[in-house]
Amino acid sequence: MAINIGTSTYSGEVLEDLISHAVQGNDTVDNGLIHIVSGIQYKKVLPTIKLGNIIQDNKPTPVTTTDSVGTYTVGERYLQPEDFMVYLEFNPRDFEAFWKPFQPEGNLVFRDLDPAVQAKMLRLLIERKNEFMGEAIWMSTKLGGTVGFTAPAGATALGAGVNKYWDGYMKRILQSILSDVAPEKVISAGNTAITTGAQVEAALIAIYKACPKQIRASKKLKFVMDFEMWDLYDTYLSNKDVKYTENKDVNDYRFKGKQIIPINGIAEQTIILAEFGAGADSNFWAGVDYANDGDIVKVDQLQANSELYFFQMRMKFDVNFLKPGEIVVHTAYVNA
Amino acid sequence: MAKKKEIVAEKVEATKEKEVEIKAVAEDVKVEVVEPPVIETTLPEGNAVTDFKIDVIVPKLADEDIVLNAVEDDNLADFPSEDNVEVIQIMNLNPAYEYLYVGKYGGVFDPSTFKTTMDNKAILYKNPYFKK
Repeated sequence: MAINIGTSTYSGEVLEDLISHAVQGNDTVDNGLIHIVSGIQYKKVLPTIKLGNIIQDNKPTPVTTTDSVGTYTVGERYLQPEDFMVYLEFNPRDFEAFWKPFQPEGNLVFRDLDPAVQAKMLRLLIERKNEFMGEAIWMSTKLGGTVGFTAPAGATALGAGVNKYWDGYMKRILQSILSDVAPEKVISAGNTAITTGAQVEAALIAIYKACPKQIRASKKLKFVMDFEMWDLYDTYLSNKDVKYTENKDVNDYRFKGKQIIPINGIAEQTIILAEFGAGADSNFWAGVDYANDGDIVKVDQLQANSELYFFQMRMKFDVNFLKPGEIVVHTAYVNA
Repeated sequence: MAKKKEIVAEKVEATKEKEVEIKAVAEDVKVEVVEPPVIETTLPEGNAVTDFKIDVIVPKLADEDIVLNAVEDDNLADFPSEDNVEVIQIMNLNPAYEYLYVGKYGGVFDPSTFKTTMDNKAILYKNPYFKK
């Protein structure tokens, strides 16, 4: 059954609200790090174009086709959202054994849940879905399974659990590092374990130096890492003899002028430098079917002769990046 | 091993001389097809040949090019020289590794990982600060 009523022997007053634990949200979307494209029912092609060298010696009259210098190279990447859903059945009568403010009302055949309780359950449902999305964006592997990639000791494996509906950014990054050819290859700036603040600093330096010069000045260029990496770096900076910031304050979320954004959901021991943003100039894109599928929950009686109800959400999602050659990463996740 | 190290460069060079086809290894492979240029060469007799065309298709490395690098190179590695301060500092930060590749920009790579995943100018060093 979908509802577990915790019992209490205390019989006094009760707060007329259900307190819920904080749930980790979808930091990647909340921080505006990816561009979301809606309206993809099957597949969307992300075309890219680049131009090679066009400069040549002067010729008074170009005559042959070889006098033409410069090639436009057109490439394609794809967003092909994959289906997944949320479906949860519950019996409003389970709350009959709980506190009065939360008990269902009405005749037995029409008994439904208190609207406030229902709203709270819906909110939790959406928050839990957001938590999943926040991690799956980075950690998923299509069809699941952790084969092909090795996670650092103690870290979450790619494709573990329900992270199995699409290929997340981490898998795509690792595949690009392994198989693509420069300049269409994600730039690896290191793959050793990061367990100290000094190692974080060294990784930041290496990443920054390895960043293609043509995007150095971009305002969209940001470092993204998980909170553990940030905490190591923050503590390391505060412990330096010459302090930038006292222990009571947090250090600037910046390195070499570029914003550092710690988020939940990204792979551990991973730092990425790239152009992040919610606009179309972001390097990181995501595709969905209907724009607000992630906020639409169907609530209905399971069937006419049942006292059960259900919550249901149906969604489609996929992620990809546009320009792998403009992504620099240090990750302890490696191809196996 | 030395030949394998130059394989990426060789692939690119080879495309200038002959047709190279590398089978894509991933389903989302991006295949770049450059419009075939017409190459004019001149035979000893002075006759121009204009029908020799080149398709440049280099989207992915072939499976056989993705080689493990670790043990074979270990005996070639040496401790960094004393004046190589930056590398020595990097070694000091990573005492868990007996050997480390250090890239052009100071990136550090585990030698047991695939060669193609590293900075292609990375140099293998023996770590003087290694602790078991």
